[in-house]
Amino acid sequence: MVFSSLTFLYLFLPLTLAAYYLAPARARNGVALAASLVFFAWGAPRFVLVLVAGCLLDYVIGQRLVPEATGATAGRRRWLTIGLVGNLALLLYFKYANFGVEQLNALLALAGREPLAWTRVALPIGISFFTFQKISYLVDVFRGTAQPAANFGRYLLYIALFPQLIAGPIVRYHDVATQLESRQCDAEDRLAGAWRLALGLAKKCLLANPLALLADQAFAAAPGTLGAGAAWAGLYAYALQIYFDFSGYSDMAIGLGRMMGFRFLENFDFPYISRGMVEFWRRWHISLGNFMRDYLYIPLGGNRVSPARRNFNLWVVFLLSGLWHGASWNFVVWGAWHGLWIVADKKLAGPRHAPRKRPAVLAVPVTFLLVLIGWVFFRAETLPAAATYLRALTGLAATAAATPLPALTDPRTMTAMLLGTGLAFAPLLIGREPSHEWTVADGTPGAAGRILLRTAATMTLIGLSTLPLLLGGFNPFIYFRF
Amino acid sequence: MHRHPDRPTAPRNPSRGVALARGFSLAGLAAAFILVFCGTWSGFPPDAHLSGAERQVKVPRLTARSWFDGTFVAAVEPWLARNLGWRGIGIRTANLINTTIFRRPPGGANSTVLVGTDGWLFEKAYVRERTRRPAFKPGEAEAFAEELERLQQLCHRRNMAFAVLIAPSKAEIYPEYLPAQYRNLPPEVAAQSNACQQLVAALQETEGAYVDARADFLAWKREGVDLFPPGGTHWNHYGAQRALDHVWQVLRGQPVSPALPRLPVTTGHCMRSPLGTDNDLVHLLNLWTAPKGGRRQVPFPLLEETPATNAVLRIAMAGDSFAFTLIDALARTGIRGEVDFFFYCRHHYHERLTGVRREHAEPEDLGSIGFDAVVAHPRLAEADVLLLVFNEIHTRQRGWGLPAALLETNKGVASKPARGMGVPPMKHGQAARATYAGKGFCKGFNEEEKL
Repeated sequence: MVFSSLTFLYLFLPLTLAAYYLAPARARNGVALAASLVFFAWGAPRFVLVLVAGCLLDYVIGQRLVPEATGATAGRRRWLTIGLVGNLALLLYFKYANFGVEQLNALLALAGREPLAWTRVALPIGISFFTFQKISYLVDVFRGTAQPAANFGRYLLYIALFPQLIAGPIVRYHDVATQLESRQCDAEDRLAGAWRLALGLAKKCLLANPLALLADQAFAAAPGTLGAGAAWAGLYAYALQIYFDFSGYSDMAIGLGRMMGFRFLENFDFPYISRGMVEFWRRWHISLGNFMRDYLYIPLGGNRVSPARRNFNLWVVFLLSGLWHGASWNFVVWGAWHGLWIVADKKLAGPRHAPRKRPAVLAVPVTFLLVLIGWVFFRAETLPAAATYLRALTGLAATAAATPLPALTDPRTMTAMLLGTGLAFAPLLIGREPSHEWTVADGTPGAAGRILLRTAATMTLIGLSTLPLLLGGFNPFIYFRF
Repeated sequence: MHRHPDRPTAPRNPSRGVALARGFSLAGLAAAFILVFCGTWSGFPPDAHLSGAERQVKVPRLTARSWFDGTFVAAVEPWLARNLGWRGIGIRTANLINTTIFRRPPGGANSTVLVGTDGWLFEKAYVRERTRRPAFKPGEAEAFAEELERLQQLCHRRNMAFAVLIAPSKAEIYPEYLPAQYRNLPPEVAAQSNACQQLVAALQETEGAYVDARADFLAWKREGVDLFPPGGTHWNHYGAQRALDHVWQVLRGQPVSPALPRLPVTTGHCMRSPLGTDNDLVHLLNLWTAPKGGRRQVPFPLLEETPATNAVLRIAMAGDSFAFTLIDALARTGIRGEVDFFFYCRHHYHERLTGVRREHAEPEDLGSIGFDAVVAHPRLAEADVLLLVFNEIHTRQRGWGLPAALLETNKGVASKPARGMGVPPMKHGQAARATYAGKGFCKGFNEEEKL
């Protein structure tokens, strides 16, 4: 189930929230867990068993990772290794087995051998995200930064909690451990959460989806039919699309969490105004960056190793981060591209080259350009397709038969492009970084009025975002044709 | 209670105004969702009506099996999309935004309607046929023409008049109102004969009775009176009346006994508000108000005062939606009798013509009966007139197989004294409305069937 669907908005969410709010405080975790399992099972019920069984294993292992429990570090480390290997093995199997077999078969074909017979493995939704959360739990308990979950239900809720289950943010266990025990959710939380949900929904339905029309047309254009202007427009549209799609989903997750009393950390913070790649990754998919830093980069040595080793580690972290996004060479190249520029940025960012001191007029466009080029690898289906698109960007690939993209003349797409540009680069336009939240504190001037205004804005955005969903399912005929 | 460290702390006692604002906001949000939820399940509060036919959607049934095999989940979203409370209000509002702010037809790329110039609307299916100009396979047009000729001969043996009426496409008659990109066809495309033109050429080589209303309309267009409405996909009432004039003339020339009566013909037109199908595309767009140009007046036929004959006719029609306006035209003549229309040769409509002139007919929907039932239908077998009506874009459908099926059913049947297509008479008590006593043209009906 996706958030931007009628089923979620008008069936699942009202029923879940009604049950959640009406339930006594001690039963709310149970309601949230039941709803989360239904949410996960929606469309792929058999994977619930994979999720629950995996969590049960983690929970049992987690009890053995407590320093006081087993005393000997070696024993705890062994349990941790079992837990990590088990989770990563599941991720490797479900997410990368198909890719691995394809590569193997390609090699076998080169060698003139028969390809390996293989039945494709279906991917459980959200496995990339919840595997990282499971790792976070095991490592946090091992390190002693968090106590193991008091009971299995609470641990399962941490993993399966529907707002963040399928697309993050990747919530580290130590960030929410105490909230799983008890949390408060007052009227302000519910209203501010609803606003955030509406904002995310609008980003997805009113900005990302119209922008996708242009991006899809550009990336689907036959080689040689895409002019440089159209290629750049399509790439820019994709950059905005992926930002509003992903950050919109994170907004919805954060808003939904807050409506239920959970506080998740921000996941996006105006990434396209970054003045360098390091800053970009502090603003883009923040929860992934945090996870990679805490659970991969630091264990690899962090900043305590030689500069050469540190740079290599950084590059490896981004290479793996790219692969985490999808089982394809394109993502590997995308990760390598970012790793390369991260290392370069670190080299540049000495005391005299602090990113904050870089002139925005130069640093922002250069960084954005590097990110844009990276998106070519991220969006193209294959590496040759990415190469073709890069050629189109230079203007060398277009022939006389270059055809304009219909979406370029669609006022809805162009409006989304204009609005999206304004929102994505808002801090540059208004001179300060606006808050992602719309919390109205008591006692501030005009609080009541602002609360009502926020509610009106929330309802308007939800209503407007619903319209494309309704239209998508409405395509009538004058009469039936038999 | 534990509070998250990042959490802003609020004073314990918010002011009365703030508390009220929050309470009112929560109640408003909850009420909006509850109303939509109630509308979904109970139809209350009422929703705005939406025009246009939609495909059937399965009602999701939750069972253990449907849950685990995914069929329940697959059925929920389309069902909800069709039944969501206030859906009509939402869609009409979305359409209003799209047409007023973005100047785009509702539904965008999925829309079945194109907005042309001067408020003229076109159904995409017709525009697509115009630009693609699909043709028959070699020999197929000639075979269909020969099939129609043989069907006509069979009808004549049954003392039944028969004709084919090919209705024109609005996009072919008024391309000047199409969006610019569809207006002018490339010369190589324009030079190609489409299926309709191929069939007309083939029919000219036969003795078959037909009316190529496309050619008529192109000629009549020069008279300066609109033959299609800006807001509709079908010919307007004036155009349909003139098409009826022509096809009736063709039918009257056929060797049936007694000859078909003369009907009052069109003498002119007056301008008035759109009626019925004149605005079917406007309604299909589901706007709160008609777009600019959609509210203009349209021509309406004026008929000669000659009273219709006392004859009682049984007219069977088969074809597409252009026949509905033709039934209106028949009702306008004041003729007596009955019309049975087999829509796409699947669905049965029935209209009683009372002998009183009416502006438009209101055919009774007798439901979908299926193709086989149409082929064997007594109303088709016992008719005085059989009219096959299809728009030019449906030419390749070959009358939806009806001519071929009727010929096949009556294979080897020589002429019979009684009218009919070889369908056995129905037994007493079985669908009384189908038991015609009349065995000849204008013989009247039995007591049950008196008009």
